[in-house]
Amino acid sequence: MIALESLLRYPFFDFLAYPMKAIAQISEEETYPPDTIIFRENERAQGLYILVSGSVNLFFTIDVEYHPEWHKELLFNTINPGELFGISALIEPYILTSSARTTKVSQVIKIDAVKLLALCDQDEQLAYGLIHQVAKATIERLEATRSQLASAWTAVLC
Amino acid sequence: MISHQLLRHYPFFGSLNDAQLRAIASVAEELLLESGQTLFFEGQPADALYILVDGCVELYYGANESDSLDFNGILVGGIIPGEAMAISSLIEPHILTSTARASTPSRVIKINTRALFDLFKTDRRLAYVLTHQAAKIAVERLLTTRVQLAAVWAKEVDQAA
Repeated sequence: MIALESLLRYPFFDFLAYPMKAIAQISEEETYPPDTIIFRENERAQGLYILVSGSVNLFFTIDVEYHPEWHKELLFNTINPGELFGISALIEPYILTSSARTTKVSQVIKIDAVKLLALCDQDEQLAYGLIHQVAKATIERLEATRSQLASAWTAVLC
Repeated sequence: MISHQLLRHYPFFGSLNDAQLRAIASVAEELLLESGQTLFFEGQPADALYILVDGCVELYYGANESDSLDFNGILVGGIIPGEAMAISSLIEPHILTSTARASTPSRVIKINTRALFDLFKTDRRLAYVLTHQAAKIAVERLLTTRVQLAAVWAKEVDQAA
C-alpha cells in the first residue's frame, strides 16, 4: 500500500473522490535501475503503472523468421513522469502490447490490475473515469505511431 | 432519429439495454455516402461517432483537407460494416486523428456526441460501455499501425540488402 498523497499528485486521478483511498490500498511503489525491463509484450498485464520519476521507453520487437540478425526493437513512445503505462491492464484480453524498459533510475506506482478491475465492478464512476483516461492515452499513442509510420514511408519512398 | 433495433445489430452497443439503445437512437441519423466521398477530415473537430452499416470506408493519415485526390495520405485502416469510426469524438480534445473516405457506396449511422454526453451525465453505465469500446478500438488500431510500421521496416531492410 502507498500513501494517499502519492496518488493525489497526478492529474490522472482528478476524476476521483473517495475511491482514491481504495486505490492507494492496492498500489505499491517500485524503483528500477536504468535499462531494466518492467514488463514484456505478450505477457498478461499485472498492473497499471504511473511513472513517478525517471523515464521509460515503450517498444515492441520484430523478428524475421530464419534471420535472427534482423531482430529489431521499435521504440514508439517515451513515458514521462506523471504518465500512465501498462494500459492493457484495463482492456480485454489483458495482454501487454508492448515492452517497457527504464532509461534511467525510475520510480513507479504499480496498481494491482486484478484488484483494480474488481473495484471497477463495484463503482461505475471509477470504471468510467479510468477507461476514459486509458482511451485518451491510447489515442495519443495511436496518433504518435501513425506519425512514425508516415515518416517511415517517406524514408522508404525517398 | 433511427430505430433502436438497428443499433442492436452492432457489438459496439452489445451490453446496453433497450432504454439505452432508444436514447442513442434518438440522437442518431443515417447518412448515405457515394464512392470517393469524404466523411470527415483529420484535424477537424470530432462531434459525431459513426457506425458503418454497409459499404467500405478507408482511414487515411496525413491526407489533404480537401476532397482533392492529389494526395490521399497513408492508408492506416479499412472499416468494415459494424465497425465504429471517429472514436476521438468520445475523448478530449475531440479532434479527428484520421480522414475517412468511402471506397464504395456506403451507409453509416451518425451519432451526435454532444447529445450523447448529455446522456452520459445521467447514465454512467452507458458512458463506461461506449468509452470502453472506444478504448478497445484504439488498441486494435494501434496494433494494426505497428504491424504496418514493421512492414515498412522490413521493406527498408530489403532495400538495404
